Amino acid sequence: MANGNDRNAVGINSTDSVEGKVAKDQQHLPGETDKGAVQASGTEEPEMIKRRRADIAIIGAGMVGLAQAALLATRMPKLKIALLEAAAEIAPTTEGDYEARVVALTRASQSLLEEVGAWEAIAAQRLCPYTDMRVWDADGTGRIHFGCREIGEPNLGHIVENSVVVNALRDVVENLPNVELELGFRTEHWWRDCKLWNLQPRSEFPRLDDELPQMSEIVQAPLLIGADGARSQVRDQLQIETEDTDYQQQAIVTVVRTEKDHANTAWQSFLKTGPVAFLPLAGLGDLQHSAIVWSADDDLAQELLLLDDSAFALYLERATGGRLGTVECSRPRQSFPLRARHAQSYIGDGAVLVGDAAHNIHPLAGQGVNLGLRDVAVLAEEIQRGLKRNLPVGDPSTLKRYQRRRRADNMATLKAMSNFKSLFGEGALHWRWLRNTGLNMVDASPLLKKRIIMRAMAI
Amino acid sequence: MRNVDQSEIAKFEQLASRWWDKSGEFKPLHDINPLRANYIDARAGVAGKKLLDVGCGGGILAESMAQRGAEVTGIDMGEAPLSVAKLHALESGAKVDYRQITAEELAEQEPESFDVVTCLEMLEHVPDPASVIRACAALVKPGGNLFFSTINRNAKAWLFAVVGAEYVMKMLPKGTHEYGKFIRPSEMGQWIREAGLELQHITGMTYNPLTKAYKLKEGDVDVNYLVHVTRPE
Repeated sequence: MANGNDRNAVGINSTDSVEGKVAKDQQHLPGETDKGAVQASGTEEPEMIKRRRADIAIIGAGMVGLAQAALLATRMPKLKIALLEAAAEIAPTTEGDYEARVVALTRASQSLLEEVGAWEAIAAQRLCPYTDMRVWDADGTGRIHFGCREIGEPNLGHIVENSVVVNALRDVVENLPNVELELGFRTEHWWRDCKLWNLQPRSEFPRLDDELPQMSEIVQAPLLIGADGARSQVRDQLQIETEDTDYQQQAIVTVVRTEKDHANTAWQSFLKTGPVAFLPLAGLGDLQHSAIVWSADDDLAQELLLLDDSAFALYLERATGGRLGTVECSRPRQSFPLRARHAQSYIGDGAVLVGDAAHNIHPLAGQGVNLGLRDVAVLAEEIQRGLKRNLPVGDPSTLKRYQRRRRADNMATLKAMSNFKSLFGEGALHWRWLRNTGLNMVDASPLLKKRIIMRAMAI
Repeated sequence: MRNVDQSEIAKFEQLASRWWDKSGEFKPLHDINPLRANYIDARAGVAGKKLLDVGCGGGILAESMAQRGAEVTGIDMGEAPLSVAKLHALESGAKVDYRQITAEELAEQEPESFDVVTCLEMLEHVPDPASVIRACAALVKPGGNLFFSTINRNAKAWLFAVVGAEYVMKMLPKGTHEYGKFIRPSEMGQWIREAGLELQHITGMTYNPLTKAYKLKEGDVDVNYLVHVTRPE
């Protein structure tokens, strides 16, 4: 005769599951009003269903999700944060060779990474400060040069490989006692009930005995942060629409070696078909490696991907007008479609979007991740502000303040990027005249240049 | 022999963790709950009364009865749904006493101790429904109210509840219902009389797949139906 105890005996319960601790945990929730913690009149502790309670669940352990977890946890040590990543592992940085996916970190992003204690590890691994930026119009005569000396700064920013930043942040997060990073957590069921998000992962390992119920652990949190990138599941779950622009361009990325030193300069050439950027890399001995980001119209991109290495190198040489000498190109090329995407809202009931989940911009100026890290900083500020005022952690007023502060800013950048793109994409003569004279005029005006640099550096 | 079907219990165990996902597998239960709760409250006035919910599952009805001021005990044989119910009560602050026990066993321990006994969407999941009805009759105080609901056994009910709800609309997990266990109103009526209870009212519950709205409809007991009975003084 079956009874409940038989089922207990087969290990559905584990001794370390947190059920029964629920009421106790609630008392530690910062800002959470505690009226919900009334004991049910049943005295025995509930069993069977395993649940883990956090104050904040962050979906996505990319650069933005990791930074968000690190910043919240550092500033508010009482917050319990669950950082949930669908991928089973975070790839380590390759030793001895550069990776093609890079970011241009502004001073503001650097400060954030310094605050959480990741910058030191990034600097110890590899990064390249860039002191100058040279931009020119390959079709005309316009050119512009930005130098850090013009604003009395040691550099304009740093080019760092994505994975260097991600791994540094991961180390930080793993040493924070109040963050629990879980890899391979693919949320299958989402629901909000009693002001809590319930996240149930897909169970990867079905039990051998079909008769047994499969119980996966549920993560519960009053606030859900979607840091799960451009194709955000959190955004879908909140039924937030996006405004999309397909640029009908692909970004081709790879790493090349140039004959001449890059001189700690970011080089950008505007071709009619899109900009080509040479972003300087350093840390592995020489100053002759650059990461290429070539944004090209779809047709050309297809062609560029099919070229053999020496032919692709020739195209690059032509694009730079020989400024970096001959180009050597032996590493695989990756491509991804360029889209601008902006979520119509950043917030839902107890949920908020940050980074690419909220906005995707043309990677032209390497601004994307800086905007994401800005979201991270502002959201942390607002959550801290709310907790000081004894508001619950996911209070609508906190989320609305975050959205007000970030959405307009991101919108402006998105707009600027797409204007920039159409300015250089147009072949018409008056556009060309405008940009040539425009670039040269700006180049001749130190004050205007200074303001542009400061804005780009987010100082 | 306990009046429990282990395979029926297992079905609910598997899904138990999502019991309070209002757009998940148990959505229909959440959708019809206000209707059932209103019906029961209107006919029995639950505030301040001792109420027993037999087959309480994750506690959807039990909590709503507690919210209306009843002193609620919920019993179920599924361990997982019960722990979901207990955990949920901690979160919502509802005061419900949940116990893993059969109605028959409780009837032996605490006869005539409840003002209201509810047993909704449960009879079609046990081997011997008549025995549950007898136990409910024993549990309620003389003069008390009882409510039963279940699914009719006819072609239309099969079409709606099994094909419609489980397969076409995917409203319920497949295998939730077995047609053979559905109960005709005539059978229900016979068991009620045999248990010494008096039928007060019967109403149908209809679902409009186009408007996605549920409503109580007197006279249409073709699919789901809800009965109100009393135990004579």
